[in-house]
Amino acid sequence: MRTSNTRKDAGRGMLFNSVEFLIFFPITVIIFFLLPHRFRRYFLLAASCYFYMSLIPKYILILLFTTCVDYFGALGCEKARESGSKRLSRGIFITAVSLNVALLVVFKYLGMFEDTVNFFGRLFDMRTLVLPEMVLPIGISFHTFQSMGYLIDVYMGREKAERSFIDFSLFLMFFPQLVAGPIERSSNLFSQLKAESYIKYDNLSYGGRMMLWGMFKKVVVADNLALFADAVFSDPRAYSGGGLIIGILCFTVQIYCDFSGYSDIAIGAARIMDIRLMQNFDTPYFSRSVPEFWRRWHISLSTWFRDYVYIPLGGNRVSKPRWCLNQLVTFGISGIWHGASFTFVVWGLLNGVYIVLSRLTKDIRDRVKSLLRIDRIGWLNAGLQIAVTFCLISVTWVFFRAESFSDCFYVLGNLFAGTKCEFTHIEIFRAYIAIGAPVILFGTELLTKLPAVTGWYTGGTRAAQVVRLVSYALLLFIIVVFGAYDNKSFIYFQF
Amino acid sequence: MTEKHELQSLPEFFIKGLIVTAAAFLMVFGLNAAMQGFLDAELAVVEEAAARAAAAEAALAGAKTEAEAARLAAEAAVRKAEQYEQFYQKYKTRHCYHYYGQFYEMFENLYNADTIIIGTSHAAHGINPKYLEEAIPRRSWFNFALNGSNPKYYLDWWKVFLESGYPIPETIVFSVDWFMCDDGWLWRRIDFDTNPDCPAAIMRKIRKTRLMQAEDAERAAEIEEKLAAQEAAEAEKEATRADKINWLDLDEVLTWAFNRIPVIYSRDRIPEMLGWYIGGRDADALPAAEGQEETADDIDSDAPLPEVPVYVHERQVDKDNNITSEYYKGYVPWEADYNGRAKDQPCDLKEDQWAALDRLLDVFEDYGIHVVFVECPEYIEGRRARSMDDMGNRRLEEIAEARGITFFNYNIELAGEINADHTNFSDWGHMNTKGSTAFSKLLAARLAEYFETRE
Repeated sequence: MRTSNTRKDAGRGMLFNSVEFLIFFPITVIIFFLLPHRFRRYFLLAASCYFYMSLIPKYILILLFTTCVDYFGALGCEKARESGSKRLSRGIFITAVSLNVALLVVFKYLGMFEDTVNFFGRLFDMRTLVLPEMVLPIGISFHTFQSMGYLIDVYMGREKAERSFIDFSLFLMFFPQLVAGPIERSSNLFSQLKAESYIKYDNLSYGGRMMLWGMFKKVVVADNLALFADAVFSDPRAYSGGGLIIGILCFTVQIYCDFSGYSDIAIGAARIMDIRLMQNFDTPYFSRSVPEFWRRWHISLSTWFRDYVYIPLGGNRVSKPRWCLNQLVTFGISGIWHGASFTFVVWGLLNGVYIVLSRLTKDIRDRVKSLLRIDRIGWLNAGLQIAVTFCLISVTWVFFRAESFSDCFYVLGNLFAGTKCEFTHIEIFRAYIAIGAPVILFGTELLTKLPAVTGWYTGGTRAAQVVRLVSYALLLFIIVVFGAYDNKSFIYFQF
Repeated sequence: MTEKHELQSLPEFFIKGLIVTAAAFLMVFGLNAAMQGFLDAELAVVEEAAARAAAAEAALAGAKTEAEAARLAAEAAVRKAEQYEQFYQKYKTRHCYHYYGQFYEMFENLYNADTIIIGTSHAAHGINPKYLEEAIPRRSWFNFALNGSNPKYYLDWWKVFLESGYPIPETIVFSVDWFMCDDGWLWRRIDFDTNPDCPAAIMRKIRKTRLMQAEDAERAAEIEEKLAAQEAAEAEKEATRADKINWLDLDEVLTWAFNRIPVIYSRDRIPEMLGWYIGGRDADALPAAEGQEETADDIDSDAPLPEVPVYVHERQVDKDNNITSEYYKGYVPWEADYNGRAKDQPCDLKEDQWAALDRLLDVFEDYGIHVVFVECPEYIEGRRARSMDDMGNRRLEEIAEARGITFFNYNIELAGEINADHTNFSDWGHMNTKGSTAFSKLLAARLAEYFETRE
């Protein structure tokens, strides 16, 4: 996959889990608050540009192109609409969206197009098509979607076009959410970027906590589990049964911690600067159904697809067959958004199929549960639902992570064939972390679901204060001693 | 600033942050001290054995009769064998024991080989000196090939080799590879061996203990001088290492710092350390040697001369599936299931590595060392980076031709049955026990001819 280049390049830049960021961020925050309000936006934009350019400098030009297209596109749309020329407004809108999509196609999907053409070309003995190899710009799908969301809102008249080029550029380039989201809405971010920010204890405390927790998820859980997941998915045929199941489970937890860890750090970093980014994950692996999972996983993207694809297609106010089609189309597009490969499309469609089946089989499932009297035992019912949802979602990650369909089918076809799970080159110590860290993670997430515990923990008693400080210190200790420090990039950078 | 800033809360936030950070680092340093204690205790056991061996060797100088000299010599040999066994017992669970075994040989001169093998993991797991000794008994052999080593690494390695005082070999069998100049594939750097608690650093400490143990006044003075020189050299090296660090490259700084914190660089050993503190401290006794019923201490003057103990090791496989218990003179077998799968991976041969290879060969030439190139067999069907192997091999052939070096390439003109059968391999490039045995015998015959012709 061409995306591998990107991951390699991303590793050289300023990642959230790099020492560079550890220096960059406090300096940025201090200067940000020291500057008078009117200069802060300029400074934040400059800092964001520096942050992005530390990854791959030349890509700033692509970002500048998107910024210009959507800034002027939105202004043009609005002006044309206000002057009564809906046709012109539509023309500008379509042109701007097309340019955004073209950018994605050129930088992200050209390789997939080339592979597809060559696959069919081989069937008909045609000459091989060779297209120039493009390196995927970091986070292109995130900022393109954020920008397109704004454009659509302006075109639909839901938002006013932003007059200030600086403010619009900052909206797209605000460094905490620049490369892997959350995909913010203009309605949430513009007002905050324009408003004066203040140093607040709650912000510092919440932001610091989120960054610490995100770091734990990333460097302790995700990066250690990645060793096992990478071993299995880079050469699945070396494993069978137990090894494959371990690989899938590791990737299931890895991708969650990798991505939600990044989001937590982004949300925390922004919050310290008095800017609230939207929640992106809400303990998704405790979901009791696939539709619920998708309401709690990558919330900023799910709501983007809901608002800009699913609802315009008719949403659920259509006939059942049309609704099924809407779901499949939405999830199919979501799949292709995630990666330039047909395995991602299948991943998306599989999730769509789950959602469709979830609705179509609801009555039957309810009847079965009633017959077995499972629904009368609340905890058993919930536990089973969570377990089944987790397993279903884990299966979809095989298509997300595997490098080819042949690998996918091998993995799924050999899940129960044998127990071979020798992970050569991985120290047993890593296995302890791979087991221990998710226990801490999910244990903590479970505790946050208990109001009595969270009430006491966040309370003002001296004991609670001590426990809080000790838990933060323990977390920091675990990050320092057990973190994986090989500067692995975040998985979601490639999208 | 306006009144809306909650500046009064800043001190509270920073104090709490400081408390959290201080508490976390206290925990880190506490665990670090425990780890340092564990590592020191491990080394201390070997150092004690080294001191006993040194004392036995020193006592030999004071022998008054031939019989006494023979007894003391036998005893010194026993102590030396015990020292090595203690070393094996303490370091056998480390990541890749053969790294430790090789530096042990370099600093403790067990065999003083006149013909050594250097190269990458293909040679470390592929050339067993046992079969070379059998075929060419007039030569002594040791395999110094190290996983991931590239030409630049060997330039640094050579400096450590000279420092160790190992006899300059008469011949070097250089196991070259077509990918040897890709330092992405071959990742080894000398600091992986010379950092604290790494093989060379450990061996320096053991040697220091051994030298300190000598009681002879004349030798003691000589040793003091040597030690002072060694310490000065080490200090200089450390300073040079610090000078070489790009202090603006924070990742490099972090790596440098982490390599000096035992609990970080040895964190994979935390469970072992906890086990040791909780109840395993009595595990320092040596296992009984084959046929040995009494220890050397029990031998009285009328008893027959003590025999050098032969320790039988239980099967020991390390974290990488190297069969440590079958380690032999630098060689260690590596076993993994391989079904002949092919997987391409980009290979990038670097010019600075080619230049380093040239410099390395110049150095060997300056020391008057004969060099033979050998490329170990690979499972050709499964080879990675197929497009690059021609280029790498061609370049190696050119170098060999220009320098008049004999080159046995078992992937081109000498490729044969081994290369065609994936059951000889643990992956596309590393032979398993079966493959390495077959290849070592084949190479032994070829080298026997070579030496016969040369001599």
